[in-house]
Formats: sequence, structure tokens, C-alpha cells
Amino acid sequence: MIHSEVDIDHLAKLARIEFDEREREIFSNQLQNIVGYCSKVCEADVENLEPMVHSFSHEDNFWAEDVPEHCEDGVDFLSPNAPEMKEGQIVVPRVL
Amino acid sequence: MENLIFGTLEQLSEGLEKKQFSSVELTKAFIGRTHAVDKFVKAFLSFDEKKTLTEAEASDARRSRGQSLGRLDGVPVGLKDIFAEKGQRLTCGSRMLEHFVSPYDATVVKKLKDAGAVLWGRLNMDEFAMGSSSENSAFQVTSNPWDLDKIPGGSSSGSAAAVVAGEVPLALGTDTGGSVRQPASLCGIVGLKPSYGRISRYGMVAYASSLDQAGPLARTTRGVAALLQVLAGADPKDSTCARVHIPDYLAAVQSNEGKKWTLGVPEEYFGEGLASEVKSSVEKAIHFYETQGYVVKPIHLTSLEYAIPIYYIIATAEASSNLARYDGIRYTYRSPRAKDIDEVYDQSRSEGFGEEVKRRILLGTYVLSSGYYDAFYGKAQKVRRLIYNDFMRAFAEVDALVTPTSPVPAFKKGEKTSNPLAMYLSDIYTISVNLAGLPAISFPCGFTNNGLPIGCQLIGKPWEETTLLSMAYAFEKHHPFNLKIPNL
Repeated sequence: MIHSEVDIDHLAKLARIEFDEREREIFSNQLQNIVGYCSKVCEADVENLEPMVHSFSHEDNFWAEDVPEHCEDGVDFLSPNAPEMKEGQIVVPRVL
Repeated sequence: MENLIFGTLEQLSEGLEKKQFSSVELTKAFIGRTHAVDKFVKAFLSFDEKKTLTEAEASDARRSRGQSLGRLDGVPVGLKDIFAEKGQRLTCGSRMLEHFVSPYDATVVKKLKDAGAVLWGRLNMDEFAMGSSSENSAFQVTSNPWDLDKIPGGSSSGSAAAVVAGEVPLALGTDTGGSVRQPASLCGIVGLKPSYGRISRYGMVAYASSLDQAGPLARTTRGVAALLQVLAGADPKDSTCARVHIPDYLAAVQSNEGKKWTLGVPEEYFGEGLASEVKSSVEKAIHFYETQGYVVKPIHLTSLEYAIPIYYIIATAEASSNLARYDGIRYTYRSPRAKDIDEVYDQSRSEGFGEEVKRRILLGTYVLSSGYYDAFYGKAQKVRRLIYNDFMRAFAEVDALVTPTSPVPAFKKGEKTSNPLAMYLSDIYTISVNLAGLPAISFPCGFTNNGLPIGCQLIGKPWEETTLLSMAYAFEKHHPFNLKIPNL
């Protein structure tokens, strides 16, 4: 078993998620529980096993050539979805 | 038209072909049924009647010109609200995408349109496909049509509930750890999780990319086979979609009739935690196969105990990366409180994501973080290989494995919401299939004394969906549990 404390504040910062004190406590306890359960993987004997990142390898598959496609809607396709637009551009708060 | 609502795909296709009814009439019957029962079932998040009827009219026009596109032409199909359909809303069950409108069609949607299917509605789901009950949807909890106080399973909750409630005859879901099979089991219909790479993921919102796979749901095995036929195939837009042979599934199911297969029964799937009624129904199904001349042999899959821990390491790691794109900038919810760019990220994500999604992002961030990567993520990838090897050893001896789909029938709403770990354990029999990339099917094999459906799962070798469909069909022909209709 791995005995590790879940540093919930550090994780929240990395994941760009905020929560109040009540949520903080709930998440902290639940994650500690789940991590404890997941640490069961340590018991498995995996000597000489290669990591498996994908079910099947498809060596003959390649990304399609990245040829830009003409979009008949132009930038208009963005407008129903962007939180704020101005003159065909997405508006964001000042960065600098 | 009333009786058509619960008709099989064959009956619907034949009726359209013989012009006993039009696609518009058929579609209106399903729309009418949806209006009548969805206030109880809550399977639909949204629908566009005008668009759907336009598609039905186009189908009728094609047919009258003698240009029918095949057995799906004019038949309504429901979509889990995770697939992009140009001009339609796509919420993925999340506030984060509440107002998102798809700018293009997913490959599966294009294929359905090319086959003449009439796309009817956007079906409820657990947020970002994370859940087993629909209770993680940001918008509504879907009810199990067999008992409205019970959950329908998840995450393809609306897809399964809508089919069994007669709101749509066929539906598409996605399965990352059992999300097609478990709701199919709990609702008493057929659900297939194809081999990883069988169906394109282009235009399907990503949860855990190495595990996600689209899958068909229908009242019958042949309905599932017909839908798979249309959806399967390589796609230049998805490099993980395999260029492998696509059989004629319906013809194969027919030609395999009477064939004797070898079935493996993994003992680990019948132990502690399995409800007695589920156990006895699945054992009866196994006995049926024996009486049909199948060879049934016990086998061992000892790695099952690691399936849930490594699934929640690998899936959440991938989710934490995939969901990083929801930043409040381009096409997602943006917090109105945010005053600078950091607040846009932090507050939009905090307000836009629900509790389970946040929990999984945090867990995924943890297992990928410095100091824990090797111990959790690295180790889990090796254990994933162990699970795969276990399956392959079994498949050297048997054609398929037979197990329960879910350890328990549909449970009460709210019963597991305060204990995420208990909810995760309801996926125990389905998730190792995704980790190994295998195909698996769930079909109804009985009912509990309280009238809740029980599902049996068959797990197959890579690309052997045909074997599973043939076996499920062999059972279904003698046990028409799938033709029972819930009282609504």
C-alpha cells in the first residue's frame, strides 16, 4: 500500500478548480478514501510486463493530412458558442 | 401506429419498405410517445421536432423515388448527448456545455445520416459520461421505466431508458467502463460495446480516450447488429479507429445459427457482492447454452480485483488531461464573476463542472502528479497489460466469456450518491473489458421478483462482435425477455 496524504489545495491549484471549506473537506476525505483503495495496484506482480497505453496498436494508421477545410460559415460558427465576441474575435479579460 | 412503438427494427423496416406506413407517420408515433411518457422517464435533454420531421419527409421522398438507403432509412435513432450533430445542442450533461451548439457532424452522425436514419433527440447522460446512474447529469435524473423510483444505469442513461420506454427504437451510447452495457442490463434491452477502434470517436466528446467507444442499444440483438453495421469502419479523422474487416453482421448471425461454441465462466465474477437473483438468472442462461450443445468450462481471471483501482487511475488521468480544454475561453461556460484571466479559468471550471467531474479531475491530477506518477499511473499501465494477458490466456481455450453485466439490478435513486466508491463498484464486471479493448454485449436474461430486468454479459475476442451477436441471438430466440414492455 502507498501511504500518501492527499494535498487537496495543491491538487485544486493544479486542476484550476476552486471550492469552499465544506466542499474542500468532502473532497479531501473522499479522495483519501479512493486513493487508499487505488493503492491496491501496488500488490500486483507486474515484473517483466510492458506498460499498456492502448488496447491495440494500429501501426498502419496515420493522422490524416492536415489540409485546411473551407468552412462555409466562416467565423460565424464560433458565435453561438463563444462566451463573448467582438468583430469576429473572441473577447477575453486582459492578460497583461 | 401504437403497436409499432415497441416493434423490432425488422418490423419497422419492413413496414416502411412495404409502405404500410411512412417514416413521417412512424416518427410522429415516437414523438407522440415521447410527449406522453418523457415527463416521467426524463430520458431526453432536448429535441428538435421540426428538424426530425424534415429528415423523415426526406426519407419518404427517397423511398417514393425508389432510392431507399437501406434498413435504417426512415427509422428514428436517438443520440446520447455526447455526439456532435451540426446545428444541434450538445451538453454532455454538463453546465459547462449547456449552450453549446455543434458546428459539425460526428463521423457516427454522418454515417447515420448517410444511412437515412431519422435523428430523434438528445438523450440524458451522466456529466461527461462519468457515472452509473444518471444522477451526475447537471440537468435531470432519468428514471428506470420498470420502476420510476430506480435509476436506469449510466452513463448512457437516456439512451437505454428511451428505447425500453418506446420513445425511440434504436439509440447510440458510449461505453468507457460499462456505460452502454450496464444501463442496457438495468433497463432490459441489448447493448453492445464494440472492440476499441471499431467505431470512430471523431465528434464524440472525450472522457478517457484510450477506453471510450461508441455502442448501439436496441430492443433486439438484430437491431444492435444493424446499427453496428452502419457505424463500424475506419475513419481518417480518428487514427485509433482500425482498418480491419467489417463482416456482414446480420448475415453472420443468421449463418451462425445452431453453431456450438465454447464458453468460459470466470469464477471470480460469481463471488461476493453478486445479488442472488442476478446470479441465478445468469446461471440459467449458462445452463441454456449447455443444453444447446455449447461446451461450458470454468476459467480464472485473477486480475479482476485490480480492474476497478486501475480503471479509476487510468480513466481519471486521461480525463484530467481531456477536460483541461474547458477553460471558459472559446466555447464553454464563462463565469460572470471572473475579472481576470486566472479567475476565468478557476471560476468557470468550478461553476461549470459538477461534483463527480471535479472529483475525477482531482484524482487524475493526483495520479499524474510528481511523486505519484510511477506508483499509480505507471503501475496501472502495467497492471492493464496483466488484465489483457489474462483475457488472452482465457481466449486460447474459449470463444467467449459469460458473466453478469451488473452485480445488482437497478437500485433506488439516491442510494449511492453519497459514497462514490460504492458507485464505482457497480462497474466491477464491465470495466476490465474496456481496459483490454475487447467487445462485449449485454442482453436481458431474466427479471427479479420485483420486476426489474437482469442482464447477462458475453465478452469476446478482439473484433469478434459477430460471435457475441450470434450467441446473444441464440438465447433471445428462446427467451424473449426483451419483448416485455414496462407499464408507464
